[in-house]
Amino acid sequence: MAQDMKKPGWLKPLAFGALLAVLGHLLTIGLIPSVIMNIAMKRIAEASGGINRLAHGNMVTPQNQQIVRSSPDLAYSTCALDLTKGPVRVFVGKGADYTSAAFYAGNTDNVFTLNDRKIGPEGAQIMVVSARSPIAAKLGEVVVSLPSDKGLLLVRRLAPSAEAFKRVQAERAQDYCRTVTDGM
Amino acid sequence: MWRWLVCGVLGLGIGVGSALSISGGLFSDANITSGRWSTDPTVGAAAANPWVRATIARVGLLALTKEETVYFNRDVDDDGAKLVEGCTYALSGEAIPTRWWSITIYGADQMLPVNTDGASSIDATRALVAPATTWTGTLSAIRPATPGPWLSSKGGGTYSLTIRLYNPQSVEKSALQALKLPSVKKVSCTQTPATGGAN
Repeated sequence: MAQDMKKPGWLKPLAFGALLAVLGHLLTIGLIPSVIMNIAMKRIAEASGGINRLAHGNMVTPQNQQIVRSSPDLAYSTCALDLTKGPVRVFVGKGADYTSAAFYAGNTDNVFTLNDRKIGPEGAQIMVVSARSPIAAKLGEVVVSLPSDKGLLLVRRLAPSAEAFKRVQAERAQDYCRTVTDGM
Repeated sequence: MWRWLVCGVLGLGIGVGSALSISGGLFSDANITSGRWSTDPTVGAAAANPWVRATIARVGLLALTKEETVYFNRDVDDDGAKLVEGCTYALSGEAIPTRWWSITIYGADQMLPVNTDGASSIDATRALVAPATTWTGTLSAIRPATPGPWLSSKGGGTYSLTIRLYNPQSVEKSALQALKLPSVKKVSCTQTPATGGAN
């Protein structure tokens, strides 16, 4: 009789604990990407001197690596995108070797990538807009629509040697990422 | 009342802990394998499930989709033993139907092992100089006496390798499974490696 009294005493708390375990698991899994992206965006914006500004990274070495699993064979340029005050214009010059401009949404999805095979000799003019406020692009401009107001641009250029990295530094000198200010 | 509190705190701890544990693994849901290398084709894509997305955010943030780059990973040698700093491995590979490839070493913290060897990666431009169609190299903590591509594991502890395949000719599952990716054969050890699980 005493045992029968104890069982109901634990059953509901255990069910409550199991429910919290499931909810805690799903909530944590769901929050991890946006939390980590926010941290990455903050660091990138600090390194660039603000949002919507492109920062060119140095050759990646064990001593200066900033994020997990970076490649020492690539020259990275980054821009923390914030579209709350309007679209952002990006220019990526044509490289002599592999080059790509990858756009990431706030949840880490790689929503669009443009590589050098689709970049003409004059470079790529890209307009980044929020899906909530689409905008007409200029002739010859590529439009990238982000599902969120915030995101990241990561430009990769193949640079597996010091010589290649020196060449890439000249190639990317004209690249930019900036808020549109011409009223378009 | 205390029963509810104990169960609630324990449940929440288990839920959050299991989420952090699962997302800290290396592509545990990988479903395409080629030899001892494995990859998850949904990396970077909107189709990725929440667990893959959380894992990528923690161990491979800002990955590209498979159409641009396929990332294969491994943390075991050809015999299935964990890759460890105390062992020397022979690397061998051949031309891969992709525009460019590179192999990079990462420690358990997903960062490049901290050393000053300048040998954290081997890429196609250095390993496979035309007209060669095959290459051999060394994976070890000490610079090998013989010339050739070298991947330094100094400071790596128990580590993993990632091969990036940029602009692969095909991203079909059958094509990826058929790739002949580099082999990693153990040569000698100064410490006994543990037997590894599937990766």
